[in-house]
Amino acid sequence: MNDVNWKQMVSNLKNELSQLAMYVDKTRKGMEDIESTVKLSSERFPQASNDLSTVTGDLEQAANRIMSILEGLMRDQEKVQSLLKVLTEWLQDSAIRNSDEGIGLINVIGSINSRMKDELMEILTNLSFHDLSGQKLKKVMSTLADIEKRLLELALTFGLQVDRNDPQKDMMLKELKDTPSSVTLNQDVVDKILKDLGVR
Amino acid sequence: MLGQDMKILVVDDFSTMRRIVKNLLRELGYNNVEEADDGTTAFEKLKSGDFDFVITDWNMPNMPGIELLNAIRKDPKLKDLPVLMVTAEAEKEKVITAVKAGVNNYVVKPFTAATLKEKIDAIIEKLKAG
Repeated sequence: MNDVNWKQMVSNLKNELSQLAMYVDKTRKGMEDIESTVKLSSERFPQASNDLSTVTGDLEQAANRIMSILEGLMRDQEKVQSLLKVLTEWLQDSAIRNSDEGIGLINVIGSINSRMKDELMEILTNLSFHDLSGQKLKKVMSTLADIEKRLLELALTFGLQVDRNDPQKDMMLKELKDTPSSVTLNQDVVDKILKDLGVR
Repeated sequence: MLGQDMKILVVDDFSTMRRIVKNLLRELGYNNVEEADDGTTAFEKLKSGDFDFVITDWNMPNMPGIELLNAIRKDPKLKDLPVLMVTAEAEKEKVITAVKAGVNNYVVKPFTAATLKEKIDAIIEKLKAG
């Protein structure tokens, strides 16, 4: 091999190695991106679940406060109805002039009171929005927990920064698979997995 | 004992919903009402108490309403207890499942006092006739 050929071969080899190094670097960066996604998800999914849980709690608190006021109003409404009944009887028994006119007015007040009762009951019935929206939020929280679990399973399966011979990896994977989808992962399990992944 | 004095157990994991049902029942003249927040608690209460009627939600943690219904129908002492399912689950399959499991009637949320009365009355009439 002459000197020119030798130089050409070294140059080609250098190019190949350079391209290989770039490819490895690109792949490493890609892996870092996945890690970053897992890290972000692991931080944001529990946060989103917590936020939704807080919303459910706030809704419950508000609904209960409204219901307490409503119950008070319904009690007052019943008292008014009883008082009107007493007043009617009193007017009927008394020798007051124009008592019929008085009874007529009492009847009008009675009708208003009765309509108020119907409207209070309707408000009460509509407070079931809390239960209905709460159930929908619970489904969203369950979906979030499921996605978080699958993401962690994926990370474990590909062994991101985890020693492939680590016996804990299989144990953790089993633990994840044994957890029902509807159940939010135990924070300790999540933290342990993340620590072993080098994410936290 | 079926009537205004009957002892009713309201089962729902949402405190607000239990309160709504209790108020609606009170409006209908039923004042002997107790609460449970899931099927497991409800089943224990039913076994130890002398309840005449159960109004239960479907979606609950630990023991959902359908499982509670199955448990009631399997229990020799409770098997004839009237159960009204109150739920947001209005799918045909769920209604069929509940009926097959022996539910006495089914109310979809949200509902009014009139609807609740209609369902309770229908159950009582049917049981008295049968």
